[in-house]
Amino acid sequence: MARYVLGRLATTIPILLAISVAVFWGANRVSDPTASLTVNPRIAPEDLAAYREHLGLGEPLIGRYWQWLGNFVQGDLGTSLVQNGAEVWPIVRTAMANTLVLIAIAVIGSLALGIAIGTVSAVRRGSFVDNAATTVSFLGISIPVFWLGLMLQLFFGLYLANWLGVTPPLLPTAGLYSPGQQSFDLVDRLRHLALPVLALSLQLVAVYSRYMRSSLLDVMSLDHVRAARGRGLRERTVVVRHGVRNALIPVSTQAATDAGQLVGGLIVTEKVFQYPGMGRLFLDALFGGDYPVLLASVMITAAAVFVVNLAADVFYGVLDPRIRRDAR
Amino acid sequence: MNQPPTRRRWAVVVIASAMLFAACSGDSSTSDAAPEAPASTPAETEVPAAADSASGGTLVLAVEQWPECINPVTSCANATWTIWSVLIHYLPRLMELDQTNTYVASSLLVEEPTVANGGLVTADDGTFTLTYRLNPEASWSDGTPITSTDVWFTWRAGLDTTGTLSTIGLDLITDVDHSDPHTAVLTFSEPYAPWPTLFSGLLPAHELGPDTDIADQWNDEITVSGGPWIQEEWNQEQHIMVPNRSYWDTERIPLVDRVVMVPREDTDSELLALQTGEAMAAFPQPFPGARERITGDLTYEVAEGTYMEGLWINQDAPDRRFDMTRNVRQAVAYALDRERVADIALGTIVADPPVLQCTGWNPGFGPWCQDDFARYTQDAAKVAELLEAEGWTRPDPDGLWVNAEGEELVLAWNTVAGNKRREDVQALVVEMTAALGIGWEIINYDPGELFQNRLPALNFGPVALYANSTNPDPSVANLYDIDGVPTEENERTGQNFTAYRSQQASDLAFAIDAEVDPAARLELVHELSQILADDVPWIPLYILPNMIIWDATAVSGPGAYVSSPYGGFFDMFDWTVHEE
Repeated sequence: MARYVLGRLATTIPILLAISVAVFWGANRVSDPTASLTVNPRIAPEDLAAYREHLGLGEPLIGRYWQWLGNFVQGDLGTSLVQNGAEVWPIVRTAMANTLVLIAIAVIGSLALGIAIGTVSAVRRGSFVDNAATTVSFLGISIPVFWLGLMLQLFFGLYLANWLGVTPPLLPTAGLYSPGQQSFDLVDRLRHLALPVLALSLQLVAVYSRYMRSSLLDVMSLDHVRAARGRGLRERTVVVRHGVRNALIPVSTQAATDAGQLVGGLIVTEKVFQYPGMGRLFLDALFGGDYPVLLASVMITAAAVFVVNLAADVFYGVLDPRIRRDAR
Repeated sequence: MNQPPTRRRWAVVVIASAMLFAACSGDSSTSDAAPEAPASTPAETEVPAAADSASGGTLVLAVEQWPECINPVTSCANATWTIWSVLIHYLPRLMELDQTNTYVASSLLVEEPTVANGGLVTADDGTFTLTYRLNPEASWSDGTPITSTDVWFTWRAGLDTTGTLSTIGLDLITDVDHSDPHTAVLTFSEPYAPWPTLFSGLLPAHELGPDTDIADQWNDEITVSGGPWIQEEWNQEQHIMVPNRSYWDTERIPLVDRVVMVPREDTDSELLALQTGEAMAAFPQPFPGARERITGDLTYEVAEGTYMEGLWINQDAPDRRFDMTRNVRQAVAYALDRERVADIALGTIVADPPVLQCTGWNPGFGPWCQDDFARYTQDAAKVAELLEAEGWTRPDPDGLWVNAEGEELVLAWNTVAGNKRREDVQALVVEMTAALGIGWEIINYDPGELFQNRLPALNFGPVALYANSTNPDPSVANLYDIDGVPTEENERTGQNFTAYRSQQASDLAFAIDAEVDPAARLELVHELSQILADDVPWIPLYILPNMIIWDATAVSGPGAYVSSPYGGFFDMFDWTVHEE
């Protein structure tokens, strides 16, 4: 297993390098931190030129990339080009923490709900519950997150709140905490997380429940399950001990993969809900031409995807010892 | 009509909350507040008179663009919202714009410097002396008097700070005499007419000094205020301000207890925050359909903004098929029905949007803008006369004009891809000029490509549709400086993006900057304006409006400074909130 992990690590480094080159080139191609200064009549051309020099933008692209890479491998993420020299790491760290909280709640909650729904659907195959779950799941999979987010905002923030006569709404439509809040308040944070988590979760629950249903149906038809039944075990024990445990393998893999992708893929959700996470940081850095922040966020996201996927593979081995043996 | 909350409604809330988070149901503040929630819709709630609710409460404002940092000298201050949401509320000004966007002495000055009172003196050797007499009662929020040393420090910080951006004007100052605490005497190397634009944010020497490089200070905290507000907190999630109770300008001591600004970084989010009651006012970019979308308790005010939009004609366009001569430029101007263009661009925001009739001066500021361009109304006969005078013919009466070399009058036209307003304008102009024999080849770019790569390299057009910012001061030298045309020789510096090379216009533009007598300056401005209307370096279309929206049931007072370069939140010291 150790060799397997090391092997995966070795293949990741060139991938990360390729990503950094592509992002660096792309960011410098499409955006410039001094763009808005170009047409500002209060800024003299010589001042602008001096400022670009100050930011190091006068250097050739390749030179700037090597300098960035050299610093990056030594753990120095550099300074922001648009935040007057602020260190990049604290900026990324804060966004990362916010995103991880959002993902953790969404994935864990969705996993629990998806597994429960999928199990019930599989056990009661063809029943009303199964059909209803199937219909709702397909609906959940079909609805785009951005549309769902907007609908949730309108429903909870506007229509329901107006109907109840509550202003501002119980579930806020944007932000990390209530305006004016100056100390940490768990309930307030959870209220602000509710809608983005819901927007993210609906699709995840739908996907996980479908995976769980089909996986459990496959497992339940295997010989060892029939043998367990033949030994006279209670159906509940058969389902939980022999069915669900084995059926969890593909679901957990999917969840781990989703979690990794979500780290960088929350752009839409975070934008819609004005949530200050990695997705919004990425967009702001991209459009602001702040390539040190952009590169740091992309590299950390890519690394997170890799780590989570690797963890999923390892976890897969824990659930299924045959995979551990294969890895050896 | 809404009914009082019922058990059924609360059951819905409880179920919905339980589905999301069990923890949410324990929010005592919301569950406690619910039974006391108003039984009527906001529309049914009477708006209290301002006098009845003249103090107290928290004002929550939605801010469209959140500053990345708030240092008043570095690139942080280039973001308009750094000024609108932060600096304008804390930093005192020497001269300031009133509600009519005219520069007047601020309460920091005893009087406005004029030629008559000896405040403005042009010496025989060409130097220019400006004397500010400071109000002795003025002080920073920590009690330290505001003195001429602060003027000196602000000047030096503007020049000495690492990464300083705008040194225009400051670099002409050779000395600031601050020997008398209440008198600052500034010496310029030459007359500088836009002097009122300088020192629009005075810095406290005692707080930031003695080092005049302040790049590492005040990036996320303004520790001392010389304005109506004191900063309590600023971060990427909110900005909290409380009144400066010791502000010497007692008429501007705020009426509310607290202001909280929160980021809502697009128009839809701002509008939603206002509709849901999560914010009370916003100062968004005007958006199409505003007149239909702002309904219910929300009200809004629209006025001229600070960006002028038009067709900028690049006389050096590398891909031009013929020279963009004065006749061709005038013909294009006569081919347009600019009233229809303004209406298609802004008609859903404001009724009967006015057409901009001058190039460089915003009608909302001072007396500078005359109607020199009013002659350019759609006129097919004029188009024909101008083009025929240069040998253009129209072999097919329904076709395009063709020059002697056989080139059709087709103009490449760039703007920002995806900008609906501008794309609507393009579609209309293509349609309206087709009958007059002028064709267009539309090639749009993303903003980065157009503004960063093509504009500075004059690699656009020959026609581009975009907006340029205007200044209350009639200084337009950057636009028409004959040496400011970006070229290989000057390493693409300069902002004369039309490549308009008129020595007379360029000289006049610089003369305007050097004329400190307002009446004489106005004459120069009008003289230049007439030349520009004859030469048509670009075709003005309209001024983009500013807009402020507020919930009339929650707040009173917004709307007085909509067109101000200080932003619509400038006068929030006069606003009141209606608290239940």
